[in-house]
Amino acid sequence: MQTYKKKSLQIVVEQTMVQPLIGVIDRAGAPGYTVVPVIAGRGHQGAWQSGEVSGTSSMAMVIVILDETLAGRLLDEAYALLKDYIAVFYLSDVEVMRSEHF
Amino acid sequence: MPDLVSIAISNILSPMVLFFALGFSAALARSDLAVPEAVAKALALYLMLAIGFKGGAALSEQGLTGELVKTLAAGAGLSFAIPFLAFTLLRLTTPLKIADAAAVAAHYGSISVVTFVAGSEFLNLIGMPFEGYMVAVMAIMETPAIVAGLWLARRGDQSRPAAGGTKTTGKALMREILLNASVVLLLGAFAIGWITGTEGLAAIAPFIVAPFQGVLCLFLLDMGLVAAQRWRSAKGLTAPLFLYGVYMPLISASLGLALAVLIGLGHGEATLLAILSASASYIAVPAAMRLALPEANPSIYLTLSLAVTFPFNLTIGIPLYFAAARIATGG
Repeated sequence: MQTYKKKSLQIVVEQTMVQPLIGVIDRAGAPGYTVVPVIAGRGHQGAWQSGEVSGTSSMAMVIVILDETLAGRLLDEAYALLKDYIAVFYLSDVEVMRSEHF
Repeated sequence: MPDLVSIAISNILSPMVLFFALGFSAALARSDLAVPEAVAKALALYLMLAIGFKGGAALSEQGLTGELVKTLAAGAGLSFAIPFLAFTLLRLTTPLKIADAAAVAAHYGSISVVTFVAGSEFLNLIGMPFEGYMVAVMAIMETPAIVAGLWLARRGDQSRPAAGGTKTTGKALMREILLNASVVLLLGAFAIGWITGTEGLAAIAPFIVAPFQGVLCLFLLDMGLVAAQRWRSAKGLTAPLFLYGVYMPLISASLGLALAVLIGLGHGEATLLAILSASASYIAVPAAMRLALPEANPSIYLTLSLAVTFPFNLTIGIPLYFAAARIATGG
């Protein structure tokens, strides 16, 4: 089966910054994105859990699959937006079946 | 009117306070009792819709008065001014950094919808009437404190960028300040209640009047769970900070009462203005602070607001402000 190499940029970010991040993704010309809720975790600033009434401790994961050149640029722009906020960034290699979608 | 001690006891033994205590104890004992996030959000929406609508419907009967305009102005003024006092006290009595102190100050200037709801239920319980427009006063008090808190953070640390930082977060912040869910729903439901009046209220009373107290109890059960979880995971809640969470609402309530007397409010309205001044936000302001002041530690402001000040106001504060308002207004 034919597959195509792409990059997957995954950002776990606090819920309040999801919309601003999506704005950056749209403006960078990314072909699409997926937002998934995350439940709980622990990191640099201690343990956190989604679901509190204030919503402040909720987090989400934003996944963008795209070409390598665009991935580097988007990573820089996303980092510039989120450098002061709670966020985990990582970039990984993936293979997709429908290259034209990404 | 029953004496104040029995009023205080009947408040503590009311279903809403007891359900809060149940949630708090269950979480402290590490029970697996939990209210799903979507349900808690729906309950909060319901409470805001119901209280907004009932306030609007009450206003349609009473009509617009000069007292309403004066009270709105007093509420907005309190919400803007309290953070300055709150910030100064925090800087004097605790080791909090500027950003943390400014964020906490914004929370104490703004209001907690559930504390207001609990306060109005308390007044209903003891048969003390109050004007429906106090809901609009609550809505208007949500946001001036956010502006004051961000200004304090900026003034205290000139090196940090203007509130909102980048253009993108600036836009998100403006949306959060002007169109946050509680302001939109409270004012929207208030307007609908006002337009449709008592007929509208009669039409949806089975939804927003009869089940109201039961829903409030379920919501307070969740608040108890959340408050105790915050309490358990609280790091850095020092004695000066804990004390601040208790004395700051007393100071704010006194300011609210003084202003209430100055503009000639009645006993019920003065009590509610004191409750609004004393309450600390835990929904609208945390979201705005995460956007605009990311360096402020959310565990400090959420723990103070949810785990110290909210339980204090719910159990002791509300009857205390009622008693103080009685003396202040001669009610």
